[in-house]
Amino acid sequence: MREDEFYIGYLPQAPAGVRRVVRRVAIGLLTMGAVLSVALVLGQMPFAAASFEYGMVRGFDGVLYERPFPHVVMEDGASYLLAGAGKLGTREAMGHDGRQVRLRGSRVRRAGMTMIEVETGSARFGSGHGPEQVTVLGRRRLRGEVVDGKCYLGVMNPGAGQVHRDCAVRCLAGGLPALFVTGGEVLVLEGFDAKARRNEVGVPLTLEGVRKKVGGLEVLELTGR
Amino acid sequence: MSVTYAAVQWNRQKKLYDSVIAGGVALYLGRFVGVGAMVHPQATAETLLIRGLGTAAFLLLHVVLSIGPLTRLDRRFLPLLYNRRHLGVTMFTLALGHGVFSLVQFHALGDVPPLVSLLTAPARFEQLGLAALTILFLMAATSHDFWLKLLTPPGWKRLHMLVYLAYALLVAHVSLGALQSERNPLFVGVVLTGACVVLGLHVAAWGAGRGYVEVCEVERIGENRAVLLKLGDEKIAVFRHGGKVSAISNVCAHQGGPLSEGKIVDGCVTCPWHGYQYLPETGASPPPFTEKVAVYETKVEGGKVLVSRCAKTSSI
Ligand code: HEM
Ligand code: FES
Repeated sequence: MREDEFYIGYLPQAPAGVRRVVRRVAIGLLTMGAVLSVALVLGQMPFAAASFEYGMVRGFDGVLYERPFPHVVMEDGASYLLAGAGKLGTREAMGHDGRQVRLRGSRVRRAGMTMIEVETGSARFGSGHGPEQVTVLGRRRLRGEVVDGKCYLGVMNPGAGQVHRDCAVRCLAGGLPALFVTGGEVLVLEGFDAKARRNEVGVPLTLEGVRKKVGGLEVLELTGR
Repeated sequence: MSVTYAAVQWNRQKKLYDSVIAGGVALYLGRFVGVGAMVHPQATAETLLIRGLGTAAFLLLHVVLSIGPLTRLDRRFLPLLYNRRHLGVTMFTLALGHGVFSLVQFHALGDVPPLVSLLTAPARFEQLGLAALTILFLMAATSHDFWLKLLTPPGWKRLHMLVYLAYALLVAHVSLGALQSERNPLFVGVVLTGACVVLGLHVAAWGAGRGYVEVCEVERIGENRAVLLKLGDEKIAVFRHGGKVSAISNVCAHQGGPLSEGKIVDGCVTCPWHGYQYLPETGASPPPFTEKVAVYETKVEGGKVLVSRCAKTSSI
């Protein structure tokens, strides 16, 4: 800048030397923005292969069970967990344990697990079936993270970890199925008092309980601490 | 000058400034979400938008915070300051988008109202974000000159100093939130680099503002002659005489003649216009005259002349 250059913002044109500096700053910042936008978006943790068929409603037929969380056993033996709208568990299942059901909803899927976000009021119930088969596999002490099933299985991505923690707490308080994500497998978590233990959601945690199979669901049931 | 308040008074430079901001922000978000959708097809649009808006606001805050000290270090950056408010309001808008999307995404449609959920959430980093957003909101809402008048400049300035608290809260928000989930050192690197830049510039400007400004090499000042130094609105005449350097105000007490264009005659700075005289060390006219101009501390270091930024407080 020449000694006598003086910038006045309300004049239409800045002095040449000032203009040059400002142009350089602007170009520098725009370049930095360009580099950082791409670097930051590429540098993120990978996203899990999970999906939510938002707005795509299908019909489902099966047998409904309420425990450990409401789920439907399909004809092929697969068990689909049920979720309500938003961050709430479904109320469609209440009082219909063991009955044939036909309902509508959207699938949430991740790594072989499926959940249905049930369209409110869509469930129609038929005749009753017997109780679901439960196989106890023994006591286990496992390390993992408690998450809510709906977000984790694909409604949100990421649906676990620190950035998702507060949401998981909300979802579990709303009655959505709890999952325990361990290094090896993802278990349905029965008997976890999500409201009392909210601080233990979304962080590394060791839990001890009974590993069992409930129909097609892999379950860890927490018993007396 | 009129005291009616228009929403914003536009002129060409403001328009240029704002177009660059708007264009830059649009490009950033477009790239973040666009490239994100391409390389992370599994990521939901909400996640990309929340992250794009959050990072854009946070990065822009660094720019906003750096402009002040930059202009103190080098006046050529002043045009950046001229319209800094628009940068601030843009940053707030991005932050608001990020906050609102996050609030909806992570707290809405649950068993309690979203704000209750946010305020009682256990991970804590989101409340820090909310606190910062509240401060940024107060600043954006009071950014217009109308509020400057209402709050008085010192009050307004105090309110706007809260931006540093907001920045600290946001560093904590990001460190306790995203940095716990992201494993790539790039993220820690960006946050640390940003903090170093902001802090470094402030320390440098503080040091420079407190101390002396470099004028030139001693030899560049002719014996008994002066060079002109401009410091903000002040003009200072820096003289060399008999192995010494003195600095006094450039403005003659008589009719404002340019003392730096004068000469030291008989030991006195002599004004080129009508010959009023001043002692270079005290700025006082030799008796019996009583005129006086401001004097500045000087020193010579490594052959360079340095002049203090503030005039010596008058002892007379
Ligand atoms: C109500 C206020 C706020 C809430 C609820 C909030 C919430 C969140 C959440 C949940 C995340 C993690 C998102 C993810 O990684 O998927 C996040 C990250 C972030 N936030 Fe905020 N935030 C708020 C305010 C702010 C403000 C005011 C700024 C900056 C001006 C900001 C900057 C960031 C940045 C840079 C990240 C890291 C990148 C990212 O993951 O999005 N946040 N925030
Ligand atoms: S202005 Fe300096 S002598 Fe008149």
